[in-house]
Amino acid sequence: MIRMDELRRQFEAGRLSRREFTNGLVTLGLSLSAANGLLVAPAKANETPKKGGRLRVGSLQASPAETLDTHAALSSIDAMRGMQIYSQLVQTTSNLEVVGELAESWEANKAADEWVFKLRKGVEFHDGRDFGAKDVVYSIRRMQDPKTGSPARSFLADIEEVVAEDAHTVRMKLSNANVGLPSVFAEYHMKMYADGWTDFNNPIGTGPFKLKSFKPGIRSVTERNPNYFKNGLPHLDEVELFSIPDTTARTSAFLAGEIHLMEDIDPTTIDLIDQAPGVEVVSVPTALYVPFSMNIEVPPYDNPDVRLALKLLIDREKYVQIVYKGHGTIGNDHPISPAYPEHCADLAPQEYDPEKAKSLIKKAGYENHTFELNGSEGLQGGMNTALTYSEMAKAAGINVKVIRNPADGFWDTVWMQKAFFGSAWNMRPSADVILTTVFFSEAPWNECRWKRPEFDKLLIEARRTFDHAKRQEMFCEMQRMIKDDGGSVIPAHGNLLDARSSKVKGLVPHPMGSLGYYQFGETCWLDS
Amino acid sequence: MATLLVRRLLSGLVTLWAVSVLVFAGTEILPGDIVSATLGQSATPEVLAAMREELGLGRPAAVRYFEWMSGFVQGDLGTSLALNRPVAELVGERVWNTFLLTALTALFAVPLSIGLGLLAVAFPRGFVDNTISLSSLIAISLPEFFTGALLVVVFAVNLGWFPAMSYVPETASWGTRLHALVLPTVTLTLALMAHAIRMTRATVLDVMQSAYVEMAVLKGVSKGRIILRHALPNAFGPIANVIALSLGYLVTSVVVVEAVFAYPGLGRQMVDAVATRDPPLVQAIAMIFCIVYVVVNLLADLVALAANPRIRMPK
Repeated sequence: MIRMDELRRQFEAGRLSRREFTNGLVTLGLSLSAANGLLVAPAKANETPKKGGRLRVGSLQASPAETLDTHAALSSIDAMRGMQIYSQLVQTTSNLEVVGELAESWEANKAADEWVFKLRKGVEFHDGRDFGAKDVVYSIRRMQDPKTGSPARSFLADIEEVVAEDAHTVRMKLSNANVGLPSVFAEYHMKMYADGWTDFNNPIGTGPFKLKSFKPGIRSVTERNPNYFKNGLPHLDEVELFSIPDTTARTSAFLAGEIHLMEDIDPTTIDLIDQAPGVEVVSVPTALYVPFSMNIEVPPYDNPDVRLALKLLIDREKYVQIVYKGHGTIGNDHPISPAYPEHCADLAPQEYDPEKAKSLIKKAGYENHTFELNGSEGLQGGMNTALTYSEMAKAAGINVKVIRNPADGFWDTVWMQKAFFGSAWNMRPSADVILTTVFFSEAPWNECRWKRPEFDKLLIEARRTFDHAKRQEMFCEMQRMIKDDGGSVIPAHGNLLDARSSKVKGLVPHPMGSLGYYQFGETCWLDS
Repeated sequence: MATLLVRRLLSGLVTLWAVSVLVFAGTEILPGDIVSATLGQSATPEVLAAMREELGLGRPAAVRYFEWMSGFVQGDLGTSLALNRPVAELVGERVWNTFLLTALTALFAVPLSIGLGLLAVAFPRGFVDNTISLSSLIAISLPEFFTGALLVVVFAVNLGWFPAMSYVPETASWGTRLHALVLPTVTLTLALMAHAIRMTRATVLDVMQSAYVEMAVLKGVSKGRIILRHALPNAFGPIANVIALSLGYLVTSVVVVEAVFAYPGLGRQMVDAVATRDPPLVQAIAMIFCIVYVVVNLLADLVALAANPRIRMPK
């Protein structure tokens, strides 16, 4: 029997290929995603970061509507620029543990409906003004203002009052208790602007880089902030960020060495990039999911037997292989993947039982029914997700017909409009946020119309439970309810797939977003 | 002659108008609008309604079209919905990039394709003709995105002679900029030449079979003199048309090639504008492309007129 550290040693000595290494781990009983997860963090501690250089990055986003007002950001490239220019109260580690940035410490009252944040002293904005409590108050109120158009507004809906108690203390009162409030401030929109600042063509922040030039949809250049509040960071002199929406063009630019980091690679090119010299695939398990969701208010999806049958027919191992080339985690029909600390490891995985699926459909009286599944090329994984699912259904003798919808207008005309449709949800800062957004009875995006008062009660109760074990129990129960009864089929969670040149060191992978949750600029350095 | 010119001009204007209606209808037919495209999944019905109200999208399509039209004829390209900035300004930032790329291509492609076309005529059905015909047939059959990707793999990724990404900031030297433009220019030149060579060859060969050329051959005039002095002037009108058609074709190819080489020109801007559902921007760029097409064809007609007295002075 081979042992894990032996495998790792061989891999690092270059004797095993990536594929052999992960396969070895899988035979040891690790899930493939966990094996991939072990691979992404081989940063060797003994290397001293080199100063200087210009890091060139290619993003898949390109829009004339790109903005430096990160409160209203809509795309990953906005998020990347935001992480360079501004800072937040807190960030999360790759295990989603909350760590202080502009906030030094925080504390809640017993009821978890009043919070006090103590701010770091001596932090300066790019133009030299001091950062303090009034800036935090301004920024939070600005995100709450509907006129700002911030997608993060709903995360802050429960903050009734935010006041500066003194120059470096902020007090917040919540209308509903929430023990998880700090992790909300780790979401990428939550940038702290200078009090009253509105000139986003000339942004000032407290982030690791200052803006040098910016052309929406084309390119931006930022340069090191010498007064950054974290000592010794950033290592780089400059970050140059390009919009290269065409995947082939982005891949070519990357392989030709014109960009060091590439956001989002096509899963079908993984092997090619793996074999190319001097570059590496960065595959990071996340909780992002592409479900097949049903409107459970209409037949046949109102029948729990039908819902269960549509979940039982998937060979999930095979699904992850086909759709994500193995770069994914097996899903359990609820959104809380192992990337969330609230993931319930005790919950049994959904079975693969085509026979049972068939008999359940028969029992429900839909033996000859054609289930019309609406997919789209625009969803992560493209049409592969729906087509693979439909093939697996065929093997179980269930007829799932896939309808191809254009990516344009999908969210407007198909999503939540049809009875059975594909969808996509990014990982959120906490399990509470994703459950509140998609599974709470009154949520506007409750895409399955799955309304269960007992679930709502648990969710609200968990928000005021400080006791970790109790809270975890509640989250387990919620995951079980969604898995057994919910209207979403969640076969897998595809990994975040980016690529980096071997010259780039210090990239810290993060499950919540590409290239270290867009924070690559702060920690990366270039090895010549 | 004058009436003919006026007629051509008028038909050009009608074409422009028809295209503007088609493009507007096209952006209307597309599912979703700027609001749903911008907000995507994060749109709630209230936010959607509020934003549509603010942008005036609730009004009938005909009203919006005539508003745009009346602005356009007065030289006002309107305001981008996505950015709330004048379209003229946005387009202005990109139009020179595209102009540079197309001008460079035309500079190489036009003389080369006429030259090679004539060469093929000079040695018909021989090795030269076959080689030229076969390679132009291959070039015609390969779409630009493929040729472009192929050139990138060989000359950017493997050999590293030229960059794969053609964007260079305006502040860079002309040498750097031209170096970055080599691959997209070659891609476009190949596509353009393939068409132009074949059409030049066909037109001149056609003239070569006429009675007066046969007469010249019988009189013992040299081959080069026949082609250059007798056949070419008569083929000039058709060749001008070939060039016009090719340049029109160039304007559409540039959309694809700009995407492949991540080059920030009008073509890529149009693709991005369609994705964000920004009708004023789409409309303006479509009109620019259309105007180029119409003007180039008009010029070709003029050249044909100048070269051919039979059309210039109808009986």
